[in-house]
Amino acid sequence: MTKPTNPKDPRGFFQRHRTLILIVSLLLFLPPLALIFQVSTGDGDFCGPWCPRMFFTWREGMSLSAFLMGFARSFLGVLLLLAILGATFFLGRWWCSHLCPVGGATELGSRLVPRWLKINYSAVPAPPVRYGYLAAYLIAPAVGLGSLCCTYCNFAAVPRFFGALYNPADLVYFFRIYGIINLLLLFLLGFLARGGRAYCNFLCPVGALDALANRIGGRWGKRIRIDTHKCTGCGACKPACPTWAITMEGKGHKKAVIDPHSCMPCGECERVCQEGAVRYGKKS
Amino acid sequence: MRVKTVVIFLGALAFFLVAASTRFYDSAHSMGLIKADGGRARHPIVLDQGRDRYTLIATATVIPPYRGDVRVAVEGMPEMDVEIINNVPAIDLSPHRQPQFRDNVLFGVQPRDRIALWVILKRKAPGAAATGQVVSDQQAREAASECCPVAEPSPAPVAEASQRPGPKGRGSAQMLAFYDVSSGKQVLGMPITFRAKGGAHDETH
Repeated sequence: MTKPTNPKDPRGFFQRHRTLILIVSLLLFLPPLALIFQVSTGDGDFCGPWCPRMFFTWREGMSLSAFLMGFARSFLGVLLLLAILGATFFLGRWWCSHLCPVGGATELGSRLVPRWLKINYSAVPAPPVRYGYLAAYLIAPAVGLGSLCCTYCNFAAVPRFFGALYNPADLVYFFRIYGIINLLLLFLLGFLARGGRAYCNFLCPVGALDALANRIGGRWGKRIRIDTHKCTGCGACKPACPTWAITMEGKGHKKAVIDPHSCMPCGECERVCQEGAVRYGKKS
Repeated sequence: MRVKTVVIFLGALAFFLVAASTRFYDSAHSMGLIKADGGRARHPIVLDQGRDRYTLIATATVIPPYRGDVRVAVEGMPEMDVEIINNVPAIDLSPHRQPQFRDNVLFGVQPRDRIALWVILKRKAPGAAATGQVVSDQQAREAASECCPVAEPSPAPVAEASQRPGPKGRGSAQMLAFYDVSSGKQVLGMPITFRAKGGAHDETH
């Protein structure tokens, strides 16, 4: 069964061609080509100077100079994260919706999975889980409890999942307990999740910071917004959202409400809204 | 609604703190610096004793002015089969030069290169010697009492801690070692520590 779509598709160019952009992103970031990494540093994945998530963790007993050295070691990851947060502040979470090869891979992969096999996580409110994860991600190494960094990392697992076909080193990644756990997470929260974005929604520290920038910049920047005068409360947009960011709220006649902590400008809700009540733009 | 959110947040925080503190010691990652006068590993590789298979991830940066060919060896564990895999892109389209890895030697290492190796340690079949020769327990004991290195059929790799020189102050012979081929000098040593199962927590990353 195909989803009902708005015949006068109001979405912009980038939202209409999101699938194609995601595929190009996979070619640029993921093995076997991983062109962005190969051309810039000679690496094949995010691990190394491109890591956008390890440098901001403070480990117990770490000196300030060692902490700052982490920024220097991951200088491209630092720049990437700053660019992501800056762009999100003004334009919304375009990195997550259109460019991230990690979330993109699981979302595109989930589209190939039959609907009856998919797990619906929408009953679980994503923001408190995500920020619980982010808090543990920052607290655990700071107090010497351990680390979530690298051990449970979709930025490491997804490129190696694609590289395993070609590269023995990538295959080896999965032949250990952490590798098996990461593979299970990749399938259960990625490919088999409805919308393919449960991993991003629950366990991505970059996504968590990005969502904060999305929330803070919401007043000034461009976002997906719902015109409450046009919204009929039909609820068609709710199941279309890959990050289950839409809820139906209100007493009596319910209307769609977007959670800025989870929304990304994928435009799926805009596509299915028959009333044209969803638009991408600044606050009017 | 707010109470529910706080409860879920606290539950997630507790769950992920437990996840962070739970470590699996069948694999470990050590980072190091390759230097002409002897490099430095950030922390030892910590593994569980008595497993059949281990995976080590060794990443290292080459500090100037060192350049040369580097032999990589796992020392102190003759009862384990060792396979070392260089982590380079499968289809090499990079304009950057990569050190080539053949026969456990990294050829053409240059300043500021970044090395990433995956090392797989697999327990040999019981009774198989380092050379592939099959020996009985008794033969092994007799040989060991008379002479020197013979593969121990014992399942405990810790028992292999021998008299080989380890890194300063550690006294452990198990090590992932990097040697300059021309001079034979060690340019980096990553100590491998085995812990009894259920022992104290160690940071492996």
